[in-house]
Amino acid sequence: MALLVLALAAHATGAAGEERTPLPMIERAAKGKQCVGEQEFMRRNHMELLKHQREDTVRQGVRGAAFSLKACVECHAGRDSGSVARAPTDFCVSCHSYAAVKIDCFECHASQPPSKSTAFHPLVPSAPGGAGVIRLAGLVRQVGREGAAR
Amino acid sequence: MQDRSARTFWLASAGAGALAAAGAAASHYMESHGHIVTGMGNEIVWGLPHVFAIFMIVAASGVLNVASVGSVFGQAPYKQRARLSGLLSLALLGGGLMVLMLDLGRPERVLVAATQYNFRSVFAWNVFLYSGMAAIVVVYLWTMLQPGLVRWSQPAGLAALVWRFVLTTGTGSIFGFVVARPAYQSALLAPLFILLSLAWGLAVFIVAQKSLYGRRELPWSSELRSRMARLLGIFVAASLYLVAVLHITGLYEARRGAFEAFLLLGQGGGARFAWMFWLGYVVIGSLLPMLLVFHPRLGRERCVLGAAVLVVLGAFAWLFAFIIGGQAFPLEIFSGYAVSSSFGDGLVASYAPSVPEWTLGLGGVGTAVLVVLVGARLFDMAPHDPA
Amino acid sequence: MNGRRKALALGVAGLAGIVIAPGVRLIEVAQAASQAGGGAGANPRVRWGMLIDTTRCKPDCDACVRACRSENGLAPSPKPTDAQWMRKVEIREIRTGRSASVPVMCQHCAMPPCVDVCPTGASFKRTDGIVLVDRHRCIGCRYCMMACPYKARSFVHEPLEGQQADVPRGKGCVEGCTMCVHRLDAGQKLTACAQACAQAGHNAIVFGDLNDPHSEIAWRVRELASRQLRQDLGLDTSVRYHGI
Repeated sequence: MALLVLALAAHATGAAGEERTPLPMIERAAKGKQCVGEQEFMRRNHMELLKHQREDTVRQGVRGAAFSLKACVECHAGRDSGSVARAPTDFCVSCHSYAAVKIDCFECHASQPPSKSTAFHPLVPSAPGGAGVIRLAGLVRQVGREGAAR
Repeated sequence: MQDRSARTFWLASAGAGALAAAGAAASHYMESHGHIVTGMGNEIVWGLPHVFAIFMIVAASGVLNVASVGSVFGQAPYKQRARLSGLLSLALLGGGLMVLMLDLGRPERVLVAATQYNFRSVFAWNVFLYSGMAAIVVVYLWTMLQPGLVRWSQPAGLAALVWRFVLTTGTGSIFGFVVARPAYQSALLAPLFILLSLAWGLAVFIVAQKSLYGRRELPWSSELRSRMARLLGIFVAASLYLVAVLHITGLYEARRGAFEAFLLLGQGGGARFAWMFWLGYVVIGSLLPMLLVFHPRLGRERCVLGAAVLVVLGAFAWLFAFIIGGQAFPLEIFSGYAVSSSFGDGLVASYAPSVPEWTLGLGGVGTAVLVVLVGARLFDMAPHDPA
Repeated sequence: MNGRRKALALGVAGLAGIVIAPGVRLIEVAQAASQAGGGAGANPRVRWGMLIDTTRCKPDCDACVRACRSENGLAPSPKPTDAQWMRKVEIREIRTGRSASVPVMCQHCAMPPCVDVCPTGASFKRTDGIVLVDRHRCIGCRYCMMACPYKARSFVHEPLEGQQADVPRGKGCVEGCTMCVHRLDAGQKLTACAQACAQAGHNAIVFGDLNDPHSEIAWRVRELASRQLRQDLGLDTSVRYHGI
């Protein structure tokens, strides 16, 4: 009990003085008006949302849903680095290094939004009259509307 | 005497511990840099670490046979050796599984492997079989070490016997269920692995018993020694028999002809696997030990340790030819055609084990040795044969 | 109740609260997730397949392979440890000397050995027949690479950077041809390789829905003699070949 009190006291005094760990720099998202969810809700639950969404996307092929990681990256990529995980001040990395929770998402996932909308790489010329291509900017607008309606 | 044995213990444990630590370090190196630091590629996907791991896992199952002969079949001198056998089983299982899990592409995901299962996969069954084996052996050891529980050691021994047969069948089936490759796809592999486990396990037991208790003046009657030697010879002969049947049958299949020539004759780039198979496994690992233990004047019980060491060497040679040779032989997607591509089609894959792989494999051995040393020091594992 | 029992009851109630509280939040999360929307997903009535006419395939052309590499972010000039999801195999029958050029990739079997052997279920077959690797579950054991008769899968041997946004791939996992699943789910009708082959003027690769009797591929496999690779294994592959 005494140890617990001591630990808490030490933490309190530490917080009052200068920070040992720099607080996360949460850059405002470059695109879109609003996130897909409330800030506090997203902060607590984004990992659960992503975990459920990835099952739907990978196993069922559901794409373009509100909680798609690609859509997150599209909005939250830093202005300078163009990424959510490159620089220490980038959106995902800054909070996660503060919270000391290692994420391995970006070992596989691109941390930068695609340089152009989803289409074949220039080496693969697109066929005339090809099927409609998802415009990511359009998706962001749609998500923004949903978020505003909530 | 006590001081010297204590010093030997600490020295040996330090050495084994250092080896285990080096293995862990090698695994960390492989994990952070990726498998590009190893000799493995897209053709040889299971390399030297798998050779070490599978040897240890198969031997872990077989070494328990000494205890089974004691507990289940009631042979008194084997009963005395049951505790050491159980300890060796746990140690080898631990060492082998450590190497296997640390060689994964994503070792940090063992939790995923422990929670998400595809029950059509023999690997998924193995997660239960191996962990269950460890639990059963712990219980079995407990029944033998706790004074009041000795009457439970027979049912525990029976459970261990049945479990390890299922487990070793599963280990052989890892390869037996692979229909794609001519080296594997055979139902014979399951019983072959059981026989190999009996041979390799007994060999490891003999080496361990001699290393731990060889200097003491413990009676190991020459009668017991000759029985164990003969048993080793029988297991080695039986395994050799199944290997022979496997390959002779393969020779009768025209579609397998190229692979059998590759492995048995070294044709088409299989020279080193043929050497491993014939010199390593057949001569050094099977015929020579059999000669040592069966020849009336040459060896018998005096050379049982030598025979055991040769069997272990032969095991590694066979596993190398089996696991790596089986992968090196190119997949025949277009039978009757000569093929070439940017992805190694038609080519015999080359493989040279790297330092991290050697270190990881030996690290597993070090872990097993450490567990045995500590276990033998904490508990009375010595066989107390009646005078 | 004496003091100790009261304290115990309080402790149990507190523990129960701590255990249940996250669940209450997760209900909130689940409700949010269920409103997340998104596309319809894989259609179980569809079976995506390919017909490769090797008589139209030129030995010195690798448009399909280059398209696959650039579409999926693979190395353009792969070294031996790099992933190759498809490759051109030049074959020559030993007895007759007849040669052909064959693009080989994951055959997307209906009875895939790789799915059978995967311990975590990372290697799986989608309802529309595409065989994929769920890299969230892959532990990198490489058993599927042992089991595949076509050498379709590759292992990622080193840390990767600059992945395509639609094609996440990373170190320590196994991967293979996905039939450009990210494009199919977005409503595109062709894989990169089929597109590139058509653009190169050879039209050797026909891609489409094998279950749709009116699709071009269904019509062609009815007209043209085709076979599966390693047909003896009985895997019922989605990729069929004409001319070999």
